[in-house]
Order: sequence, then C-alpha cells, then structure tokens
Amino acid sequence: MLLSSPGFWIKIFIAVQMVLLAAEFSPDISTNGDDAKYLILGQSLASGNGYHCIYEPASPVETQYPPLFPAFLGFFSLFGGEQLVPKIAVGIISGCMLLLLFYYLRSTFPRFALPVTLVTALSSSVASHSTVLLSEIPYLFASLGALMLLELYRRRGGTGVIFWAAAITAIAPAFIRTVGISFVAAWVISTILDKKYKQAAAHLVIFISATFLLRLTTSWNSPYIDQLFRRNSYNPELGFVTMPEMIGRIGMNLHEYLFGVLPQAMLGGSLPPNVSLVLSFGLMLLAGIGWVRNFALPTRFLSFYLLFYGGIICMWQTQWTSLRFIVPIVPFLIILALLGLETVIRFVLRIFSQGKESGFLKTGIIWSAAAVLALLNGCGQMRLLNENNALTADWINFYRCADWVRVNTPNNAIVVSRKPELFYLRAQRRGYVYPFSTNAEEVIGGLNKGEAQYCILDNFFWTGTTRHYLVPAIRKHPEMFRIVYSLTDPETYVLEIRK
Amino acid sequence: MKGMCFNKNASFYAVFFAVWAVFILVKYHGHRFEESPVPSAGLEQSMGAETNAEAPLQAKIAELRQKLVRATTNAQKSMILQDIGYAYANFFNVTENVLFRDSAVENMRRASTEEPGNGRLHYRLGKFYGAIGNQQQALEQYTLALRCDSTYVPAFTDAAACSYFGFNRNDDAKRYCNRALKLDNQAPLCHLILGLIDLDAKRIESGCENLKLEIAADESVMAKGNASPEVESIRFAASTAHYRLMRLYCSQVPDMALAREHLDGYLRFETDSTRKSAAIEAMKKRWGS
Repeated sequence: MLLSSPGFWIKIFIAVQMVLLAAEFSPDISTNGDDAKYLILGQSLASGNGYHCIYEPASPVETQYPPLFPAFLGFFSLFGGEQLVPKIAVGIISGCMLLLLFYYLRSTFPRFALPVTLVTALSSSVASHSTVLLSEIPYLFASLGALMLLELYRRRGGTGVIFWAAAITAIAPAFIRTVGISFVAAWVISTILDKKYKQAAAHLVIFISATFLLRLTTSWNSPYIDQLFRRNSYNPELGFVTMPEMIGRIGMNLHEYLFGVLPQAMLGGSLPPNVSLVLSFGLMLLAGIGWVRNFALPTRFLSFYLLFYGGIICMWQTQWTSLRFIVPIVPFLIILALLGLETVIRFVLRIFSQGKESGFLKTGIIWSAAAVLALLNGCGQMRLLNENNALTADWINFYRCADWVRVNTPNNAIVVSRKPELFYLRAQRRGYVYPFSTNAEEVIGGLNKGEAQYCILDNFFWTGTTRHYLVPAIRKHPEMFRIVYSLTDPETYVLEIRK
Repeated sequence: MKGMCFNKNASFYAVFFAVWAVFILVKYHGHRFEESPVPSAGLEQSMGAETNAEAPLQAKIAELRQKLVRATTNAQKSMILQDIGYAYANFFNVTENVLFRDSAVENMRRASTEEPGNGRLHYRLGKFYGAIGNQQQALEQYTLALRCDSTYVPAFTDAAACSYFGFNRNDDAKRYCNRALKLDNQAPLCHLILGLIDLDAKRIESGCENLKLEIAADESVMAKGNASPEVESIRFAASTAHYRLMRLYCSQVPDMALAREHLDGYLRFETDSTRKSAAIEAMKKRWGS
C-alpha cells in the first residue's frame, strides 16, 4: 500500500536529493563571481543601503541583475552566518522545487510525475546549482510555482485570488533572471491562445508596472542590450556584431548546446563523450517531438517558453555558453523528452498492434527510460562527490593576496582586481575592475580615476584579461607601482599605486 | 485538483527541511569565508617600507620620455628606448623589483623593433636576457644580431658562450668560436670554449693549447687597456683557463711548477676570495705546502 503511494516516493526522492546536497555542500562562496555579487547586493538591501554595488568605491546602483534573488539572499543573511544561511536557503528551495515539480506534473502529466521527479532529484546539473548562491534553482522554483498557479487558474477560472496570484507570480522569473522575459512572453501568448484574455492583460500590466517601478527606483540603463550585441565584452575594442555574425553566433551556440552542454546537463556527464553525444542526440530528438506535440496540449505554455528561452540563450556571447543557462529548463526538457517517447511508442504500437495500445508496455518503456536517465545522473552525482573541488593555484594566490590586503592595508583602501566582488568579501576592501583597453594610458587613467591605492596583478588561468590589459599598462609605467606582496607559482602580486 | 494538494504533507516537509538546515548549520558553525584557510601554492614575499631609492629613476625616465617625444628618426627613438630600458635594468639590479625587469625588456624590445636592422640593439637585449637568466631568449637575440651584422664579434662570442654553457651545444659553440676567431684572433672566451670542448672530448693536448691561447689573448687585450666593457668576460675567461690548466697539471699531466704558475695566474684574475682559498687548498692538498 505504502509502496504504491506517490506521496511516499516523493518523500524518498526529496530525502535522497537532500542527503546528496548535504554531502556536496560547501560553506564557501564559489569562484564564478556572480554568486559573490548576488550576496553583496543582498547584503546591501538587508543593511538598508538600497540596491547598490557596495563593493565599488562609489556604490553605484545595480543595473544588471534583477533584484528578487538578491532580496531573497538579503532576507536570509539577516539571520546571520554571512553566506551560510542564504546557501542553506537555496538548498531548501531546491527541495521545494522538486516538490512543486511533482505536484505540477500530477495535475498536468500524471504519468510522468514520478519519473521526471526522480530524474530531477538525481540530476547532477540541478544538484551542482543547488549548493551555490546562483539564481538558477530559485528561478526554476518560481517558474514552477507560477505554472502551478496557472494550472489551478486554468481549472478554476474566474478572477479571484488564484487569478491574481498567477498573474503576479508569473513575473517572478523575470525579476530573478532577465532571461525570464521569455517566461512572460510565453505566458501572454499561451493565455491568449487559451482565450484567457484577462489573465494575459493582467499579467502584462503587472509586469510592465513592476519593470517601470524597478527602473524608476534604480536606473533606466541596462547593460544587457550592450552585452547582447557586443562581439566580446572582454574585448570591447572589437565593437558590435553584424546581422550575419549574430546568425553565426546563434548557430555556434546551438551547436555548443546540442553537442556539448545538453549531454552533460541531461546525462550527468559520466558517459564517454561519443556515447553521451549519441544518447543526448536521441533524447533531444524525442524532446523535439514532444515539443511539437505539446503545442496541441493545454500545457502549450512549455513549448512557447522553451522556444523563447532557447532563442535568447543562443543569442548570448559564445564565451558565456554554459550549463548554467540550461539548468532552469532541465525538468521541462525531461518532460518533453518523455512526451516525445510516448508519442513514438504510441505511433509504433498503432502500426504493429493494429491500433491497440498497451498501457502497461508504454508505462514500462517510459519508466525504463527514466530509470536510465536517473542512473546516469546518479553516476554524475557520484562523480561530483568524488571530484576534487580544491581551489586551483591561481585562486589560492588571489585569496592569499586578499588576506594580505585585509591585514596590512587601511580599511578604506581601494583595490583594483579582476574579481572585485570576491575580493570585497574576502579582503573587506572596496574595489573595481581595471578598464578592458589595450590603450595603456586609458588603463592607467582608469586606475587613477577610481583613486585606487592597490592593484592585484593576478595570474588567473581562466582569463587572460589581466595579461592583456593590465600588464602592458604596468610595464609602460612601472615607476607608478611598487610591489608590496608577491607570491610565486603562479606569480601574483599586490602592487601599491603611487600617486 | 486533489493531486495538487499537499497540505497534509506540509508538516513533514517543514520538519525535514528544518532538520537539514540545522545539520548544515551545526556542521559549519562559525565558518567565515574571509577567514577560511587557503592552502599554500607558492613562495611569498612581503616587501619592506618604501624608500626614496626610486626617485632618481622616476626623474631619469621622465627626462628620457620627453626626449622620446622630441625624437624624429627611428635611430634616435631606438637609442632613447634602449636608454630607458637600461635605466629600468639598473633599477632592477638595485631593487630586484621584477616590474622594472619586465619594463627593461619591454623597452629594449621596442628599441630593437624601432630599428630592426641594428644588430647591436638585439645584442644588448640578448645580454640583458642572459643577465636575468633567460638563455633561450638571449641566444635568439644574438642570432638576430648576427643576422643583421655577420661581422659582429661580441655576438659570436656570446652566442658561443650561451650555446656551450647554457645548452651544451658544443658543435654550435665551436662554429661560433671559429667564426669569431676568424674576425678577431684575440676574441675573448673563444679559445677558452674551444679548449673546454676539447677537454670534454678528452683531447688534452689540444685543450691545453687552446686554454693557453686564451690566456695569451686575454693578457694581450688587458695589456692594451682598451677592453673596459669586456673586462668581466676577460677576467672570467682568463681565470677559468688558468684554473683548468692548474687542475690538469695537478692530475692528468702532473707538473708542480706549471701548476704553481697557473695558480698564480688564476689568483691574479679571480676576484672571489672563497674561490681563491679553495684553489690554494687544492694545490696544497696535491703538492703539500
């Protein structure tokens, strides 16, 4: 009796997921930089300083990241423990997301509810983003929350609490990640096609009003447009893309996502590359079939959403193509893949069984496919657990320089570095990034303009910007700098800037 | 609708997530990101307080930069850039600040690109590379210098020294030495390198001959008194030749008088007192007081 209860199994899945998350949990901030920025913005909000980049000397207003996720982190940082409590909150959100996914699927695709929840619970890509301060999991949680409310509204109708709750909650993804505008667009289109015109209008009005209010209180400038059309944000001198280049970029991103990122996201990254590629291609083919079929179902929102979402991420600069962008749609891709598989099975059964459908066979195949995906992702999780997550030597030296600066410089010292957000959290000193320019005078001008007193000459393995922009400027004016602290392997320096 | 209701399980999940949170909180209680230890990667060095030693450099660089702005020809520019490079190199020698080292290289490089046909600029850059221990780049610059001027003896001798001492490329070193000696039969270091190559190949007689030729050449150049820029290499060549001969006459071709003669020669050219004492000790050990 107990074993046949889905409620029992979902508890098991969530328990397994949370145990794995506890094993993978690290109390430190990861080195990708974005989480440090989210946390600082949250701290700024929590301390009543508004939505400002308090790690920069002038504390400018934040114009890039939407405020909902930083506000979430800021709220939890009020409970102390610096980044620890916010990180725990993200982990719990991941568990809640699984719960929402299960209940959403029970009302939309009941036959997929347990298989999809199982695969998502064991998904290594979802897990790796559940123990960091990144917005992907909260974004997915908000998306599922809105979808559940949409489903409730679709069934109940009317203009009561559920109507407004759905219309309001559906703007949350766009205020967690800017790519969430794809969610808004899909919401409007799918509700119009469902002839829920009031819902579409209410949602649009709420979204526009909230955006207007946010821009009014922060800034009308958004760096996203500039970033979208730049050839390379790390080399601004290259200028902006042309239309053929944009088409080429979309093609390159599509290729990279299909053959590089998706195999890792869907199959856990534990298979040999060629096997993974073939399996992933098959999976995407099924997802494609499911995506097309889903346009004819009441859940057509998902098809529109993935179309817009995929379009946006494929337009993004190619150096930013990564697993991060896929994580918020992993469960939806699994749903569509299973829907595609079901469509194929139904088609094959109709041909070979003269129209008689075998529900048992269909369920068996779907469960087998889900079990294979879950197993592969489980192996991926094991790999994550055994992975050496120790800092690399370049980061060790960067942090050691930050430690030296914290102990040996005045509290108000301004430090130029490649990762000022992480530097701020580690060294407790404000700072900013040097200008990305090959004109040495411009770089020196940038250091002087910001009244920086120190500068970190890093030797990061993952980026060449310091070597490309800062080092030539220092070589041109070495008399302006004095080495006050140095480390070897790799060579990393704290330089004092002479006035 | 029934499927979407999870109220009855809410308390279970609330307790479960609370237990999870408490477990993590207890496990990492008191953890602070800024104080979490990072392992050691490389050697560290914290510099002392700033001194005024660099003030003259700043003045000199400023002056040279002004000159550079006024320079009209590539030759003028390259000379000024080289002077800037030398200024940085001098300060690197005094302060050991690697930023000055890199700037010295950068400016000398710019000097050589400003006037690419000037072999001396390549040669001087090569000398600086050699001084900071980058033998590969040094040899490359000597080769470039020789491409610009195939009669430039110092480039031959330094390329030979670099090939022999830096890379054990005896054939290359021999070729450079022979070319240098054809142009100047008293070119310092060349006979020494040829002698050492002979000794390495157990050609004792020819090795001794070459070492003696080196000593004779060095004595002659020193006697003329016109070798001030190369005095260090002459001292090195003469002292090494005398020392190797002394060792030969102490062991493979025993002759106390000749050994003594070369010890005296060695002591004249060697400036390091520890090495001098060691040579005297070796002599005493072999022949007694």
